[in-house]
Amino acid sequence: MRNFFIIFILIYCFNPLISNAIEPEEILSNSVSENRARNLSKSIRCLVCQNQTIDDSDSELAKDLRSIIRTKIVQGETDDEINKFLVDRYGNFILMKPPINKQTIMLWLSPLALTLLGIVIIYFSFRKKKNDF
Amino acid sequence: MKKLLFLIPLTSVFILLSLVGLILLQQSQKTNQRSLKSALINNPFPDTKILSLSETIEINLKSKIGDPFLVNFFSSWCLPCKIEAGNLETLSERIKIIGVSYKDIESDTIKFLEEFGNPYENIGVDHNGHIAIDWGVYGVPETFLINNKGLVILRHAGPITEDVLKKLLIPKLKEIGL
Repeated sequence: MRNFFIIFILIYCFNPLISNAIEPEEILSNSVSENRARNLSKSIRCLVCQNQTIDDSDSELAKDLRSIIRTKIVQGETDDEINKFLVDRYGNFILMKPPINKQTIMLWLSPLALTLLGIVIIYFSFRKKKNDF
Repeated sequence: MKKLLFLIPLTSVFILLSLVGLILLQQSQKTNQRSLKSALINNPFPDTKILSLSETIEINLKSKIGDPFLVNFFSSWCLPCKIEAGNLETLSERIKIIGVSYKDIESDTIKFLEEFGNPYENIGVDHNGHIAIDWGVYGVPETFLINNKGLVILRHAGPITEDVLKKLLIPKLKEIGL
């Protein structure tokens, strides 16, 4: 019983490392190309299950997108060309890391702005305490 | 003066929280795939090779430019496609509809059309889902309205319900003179 419990905990802990949605028949025989496909897939959002990448998702659309990425890699397209193909069809939303532009600038700047705000608050609260003494 | 200075961080917090709230609101709306704007809007429709159902001839969508038309991705295994079938029939009286049978067995598609009606001028097949990806489709059913210049002017993800027909499609068709 104890062993079963330990095995269960180990499987639970390592599950994120061993689980992915890619099926054996999808894998390219050329390991360099396959690595490229995996890296690209990890940067592409699954559009029907939005908080996952297509590398993690079991959805049909994710599987088709993985297949298209691999076909394009075999055809000799670059990563940028493949990303452009997907963005042209699904918009920047398909990228897990959207580019910096007018629509996304707040998304990129808000952590910096919040940090600065934190510093300002700390500064003023310390100043107030100092003045109280 | 000191009191006034203390208002600066408070006002900043208020403004920032409002902005963050606004962004989160927009994001939550964006995460709804139906409200996501298609990247094809105001762009020419994808020049994808589409083979017709049961035949090996190619459907030449480019030859249809000149008149507006609809492209509808559907499948016999898709329940919402059955829901929209009647409304597509209604639409077919106003505008040509090209159907693309998505990841389906051809005999099942034919049975589906016999049972629920055939509103399509042409029916193409997309066996591996790659044509759908070329059109930026999320899933079936999904419908695109192409204007007389060959530009995609509307995309609707999900079934064309009575409400969608009356509030979205018919007004849009009226806008382009149909």
